[in-house]
Amino acid sequence: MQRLLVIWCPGILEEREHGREARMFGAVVGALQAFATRVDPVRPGVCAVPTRGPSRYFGGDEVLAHMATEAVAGAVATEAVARAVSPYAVGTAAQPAGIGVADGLFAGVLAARAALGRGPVIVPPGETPSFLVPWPVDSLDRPELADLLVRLGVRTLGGFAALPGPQVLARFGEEGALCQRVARGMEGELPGFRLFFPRAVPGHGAAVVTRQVGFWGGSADADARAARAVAGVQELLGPEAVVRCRLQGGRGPAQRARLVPWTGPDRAGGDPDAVHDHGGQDGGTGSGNSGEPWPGQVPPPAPAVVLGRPLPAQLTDGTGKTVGVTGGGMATAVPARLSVAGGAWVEVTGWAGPWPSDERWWSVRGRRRQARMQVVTAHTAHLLTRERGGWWLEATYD
Amino acid sequence: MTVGTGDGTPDAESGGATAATRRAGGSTTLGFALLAAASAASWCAAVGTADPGIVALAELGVDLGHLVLVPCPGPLWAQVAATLFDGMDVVLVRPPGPVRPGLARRLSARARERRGVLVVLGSRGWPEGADVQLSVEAGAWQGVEAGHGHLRGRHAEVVASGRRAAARLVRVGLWLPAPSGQVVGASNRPQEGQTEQEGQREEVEAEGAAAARHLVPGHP
Repeated sequence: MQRLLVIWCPGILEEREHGREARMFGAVVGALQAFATRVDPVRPGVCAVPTRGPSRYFGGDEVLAHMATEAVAGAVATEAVARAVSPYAVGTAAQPAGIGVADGLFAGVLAARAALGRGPVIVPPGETPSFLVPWPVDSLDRPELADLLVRLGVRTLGGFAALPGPQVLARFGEEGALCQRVARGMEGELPGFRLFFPRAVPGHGAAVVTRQVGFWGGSADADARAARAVAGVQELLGPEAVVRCRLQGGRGPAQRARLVPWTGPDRAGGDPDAVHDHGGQDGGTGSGNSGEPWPGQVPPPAPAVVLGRPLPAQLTDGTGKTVGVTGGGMATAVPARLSVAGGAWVEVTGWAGPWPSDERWWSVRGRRRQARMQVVTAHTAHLLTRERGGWWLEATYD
Repeated sequence: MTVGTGDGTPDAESGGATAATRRAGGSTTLGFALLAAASAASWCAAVGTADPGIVALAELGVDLGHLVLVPCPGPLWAQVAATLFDGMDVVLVRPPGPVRPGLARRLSARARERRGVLVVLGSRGWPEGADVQLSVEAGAWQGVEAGHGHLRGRHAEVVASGRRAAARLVRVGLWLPAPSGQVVGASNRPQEGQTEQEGQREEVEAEGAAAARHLVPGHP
C-alpha cells in the first residue's frame, strides 16, 4: 500500500466565491512541489505526497513532514497577507493545516485530521491497522453503514474490522466489504473520496491533473512538468545525476560556481546560499562579478568550458624552455607553444596575464599561490593555471 | 525542431574538405547561447556537457533558475534526453560519439512530438541533417596581444544551413561572445571602453526576441 503524506487544510475544503480557496490550495500545492516531485490534489483542501522517494532522499518521514509543515505554513501565510489587502477580504484568519503520514490515503487523511492544531502525526509503516482501531465508524463517511453498525453496537473501526468478513459481505454487500477492508488497513482508500484524479504515469503523455483542475497558472504547471521529467531521469540514473547551477564568489571560474543536486523546481532550489544567484542573472552583463572584490579574478567574458579536473599542460617559449611566473607576477619568458595532457604542440598566437592570486580556501595548512594566464591558439583560447611548478589547463574559451 | 551546432563546415557541404583547416572553436558558446532566450520563460536541460562554464552561461543570459544539467548520463544519454522532453522545452545534448541514424531519428521525432527544440552540440557525430545547422567558421579572439590586455570577445563567422524553411545558407558575423559575455551581431564592433552601450543592448534584445520565436514552442 502506498505510503502517503497527506495535507488537510480545513479552511479550503470547499470552493467558494472569488476563487480564494482555490488560490490558497494552489499555493499550498506549489509550495509542496518545491521538494516533492509528485503532489496529488485529492479534493479541495486535501493533497497527498507519495513519501517513498522524498523521504529516502531527505532522511525520513519526520524530516519530510517537517518540511511540508514549513512549506504549507509559508504558503498559507503569504496567501493570507494577499487576502488581507484584497478588496474581497472577509476577515477569515489563516487556516491551519494538519499533516499526517500513513499507509494509504484513508489513514493518511485521518492522521492529518488528528494532526490539526499540533505537529504532524506519523503512523509508522505497518501500524496503520492499529492506528485505525479507535476511530468512530462514521469516519468512513458512509452514514447508512455507520447507522447500522452503531445499532449493532459496533462504534469503532476496530470493532467493524473484527466482524467476520463473509458476514459483512452478506449483510452489507460489496461496498460494505470494501469499507471493512479499509477499516482493517488492508485497502488504502474509499471510492469516491478523490474528487481529482491522480495523474497518469510520468512520461506517458496523458493530461496531467493540474490541467484538469485548472487551479494554478502556467508557470507552476511548467515547473511541475519539469519536476516530473527530472524525476524520470532520476529513476534512470539515480537522484544525484541531475544538478542545477549556483554562482558564488571566487577567483577562478571553477570556484565561482558550483553544481548542486536537484531538489525541486523552485528558483532557490532549496539552497540556503541561493542569494548568490541574483547578482549573476539579471541581464548577464558582467555578471558573476557581482560587485564582490576578488583580486586575481580574470576579467569577463568567462570561459564556456571549465574542467572539473584540470589537465596538466606544458607552456614553453621559442627555445622550448618552460615559461614560469615570478614572485612579482611576471612571466619569465614569452609563451610560444602549448601542449595539453601530452598532446600535440600548438602555436601560441597571443597571451595575456598572468593574474596572480594567493588563496587560502583550498587547504587549512596554508596558502595557495596560483597565477592564471590566457593563451590564444589558432582555433581557440585557454585559461591556464600555474601552480606547484606546473601548468594546468583549467578552462577553455570554446 | 533539431538544431545542430558545430565547429567548421559539415563534411557533406564542404565536399569532404579537410575540416581541420577550417576548424574554429565556439560551438559550446553558440549552443548555450541558444538556451539564453528560451530559458527566460521555459525550462531547459543540458545532457552530457560534463564541464560547462557556469559563469559563462550566466553571462550568456541563460536563466540558471530554469536550467538543469545531467552532466554525465553515460550510455543512456539519448533516453535521458527523451525523458527530459516530457517537461523541458529545450534540450541540449552533447553525444559522446557518433550517433546511430535510428537513434538520432527517434530523438528528433521525440522533440517534434513534444514541440520542443533539440540542440545538438558538436553535431559532427549527428548522422541526419538537423532542421537548422549552425557552424562556426573562422573565429578569432580579440583583446589579447603579447602579454597585454585580456580576452574581450571572439569575432566569429557562423553559417546557418538547414532544411525546409531554413534551406537558404546564411552567413553571419557574431561576437561569440562579446565582452559582456553575450552573443551579439558583429555589425556593432565593440570599442575599447564603450562596450556595453545601449545600442548594443537593444540589438541583443532584438536578437533574443528573434531567437525566442525560433526556440520557444508556441511563441508568437
